[in-house]
Amino acid sequence: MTEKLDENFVKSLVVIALGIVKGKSDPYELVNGAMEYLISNKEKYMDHPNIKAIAVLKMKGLFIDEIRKNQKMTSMTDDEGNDLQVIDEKQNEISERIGLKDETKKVLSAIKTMSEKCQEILMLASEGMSMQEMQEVTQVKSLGTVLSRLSNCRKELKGLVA
Amino acid sequence: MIDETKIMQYADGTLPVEEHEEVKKAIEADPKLKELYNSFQETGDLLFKLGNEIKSQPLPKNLQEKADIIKTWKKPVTKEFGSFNFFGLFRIQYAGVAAACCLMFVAGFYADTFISGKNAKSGNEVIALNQSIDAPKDLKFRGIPKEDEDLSTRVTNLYRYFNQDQFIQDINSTIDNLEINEEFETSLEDNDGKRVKFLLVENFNANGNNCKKVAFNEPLKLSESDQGTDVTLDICKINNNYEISSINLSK
Repeated sequence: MTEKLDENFVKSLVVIALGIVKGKSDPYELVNGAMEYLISNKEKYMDHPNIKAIAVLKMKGLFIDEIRKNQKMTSMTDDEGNDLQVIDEKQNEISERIGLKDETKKVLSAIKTMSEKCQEILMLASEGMSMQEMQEVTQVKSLGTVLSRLSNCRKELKGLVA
Repeated sequence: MIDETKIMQYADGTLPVEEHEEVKKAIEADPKLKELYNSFQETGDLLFKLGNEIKSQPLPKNLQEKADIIKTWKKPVTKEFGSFNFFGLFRIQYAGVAAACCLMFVAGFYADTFISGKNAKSGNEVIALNQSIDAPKDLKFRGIPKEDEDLSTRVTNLYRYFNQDQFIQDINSTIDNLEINEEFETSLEDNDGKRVKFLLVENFNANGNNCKKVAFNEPLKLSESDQGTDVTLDICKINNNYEISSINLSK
């Protein structure tokens, strides 16, 4: 079915963005960037059958760009030669801003300690995507890989929140 | 040996029906698989809650403005594709319907694409559909955008309108002659008098029975806030007559 474009579409992107930012960026800024891109390319994408996948791929691109920029920033070191983590505090603020319940916050925190692949796929699952949609967004070639990745990540998550 | 991903899909309700029996037996026979199944159910619930809770948060002003912009791009799905309006009739009937009605389901409800209804212990579910359904503990309605969202209203409205016996009577003699993706009608009309069209989606086998998946050809408007629910029916031939084995709702 064609994606319905409304507030819920944007909220879905926020959920997915939380899996992309990996605790290193503001998910809302990422969604905002993707939305700006879609709006400025309205004629190109307004009839696209899977506009969510376009938005997700754009968010990934924006995140990579941001990381590259921040890598330049974090090349600054402290007195002991350690990289400065200039964006972690911002992430803490985001967790609070989202205003999740304690139990849910615990789940999100656990996910953020996991591998990048797990963070991504678990947030896609959390958004309610089907396996096929996850495959499209993650650009994994095989549906079996998506299934086994999700299965393994959920087992790991269970261990973390137990 | 059952693949773990099958257990996960079974726990989520996304495993193809024809594989249910094999996986169910394996789970029943192996405590480790049972534990794994429970674990997948638990993480399914956790992820579902996480997604819903994040989505329940208001958008920042700048994103809300962009959401308002893209809303104008397309007509709502219900209008763009047309829809069957099952909501108006409900409002008319609601005040007048007093008698309780019970409906039997072989496999329970499936909600949305990610996670779905849990198997009934007895193989049957009985739901009083003239009442708001507080999802029983052993029948989970997952995949709902918000916990307080109107799944029970949507299910209720569907069944206030959709006469299962009439539907079966209408299709019993003709459905075997249909090709996949072929459209067909029954006597069912929506609240606006529009004849409801169905689509034969697939043929499959479940527990040795010949089954068919049938989809309403357009999204259904099942409540005031419903922007369009896709509904499919699984029907299986038992003793030479088709019966509805499950109803699948997804947004």
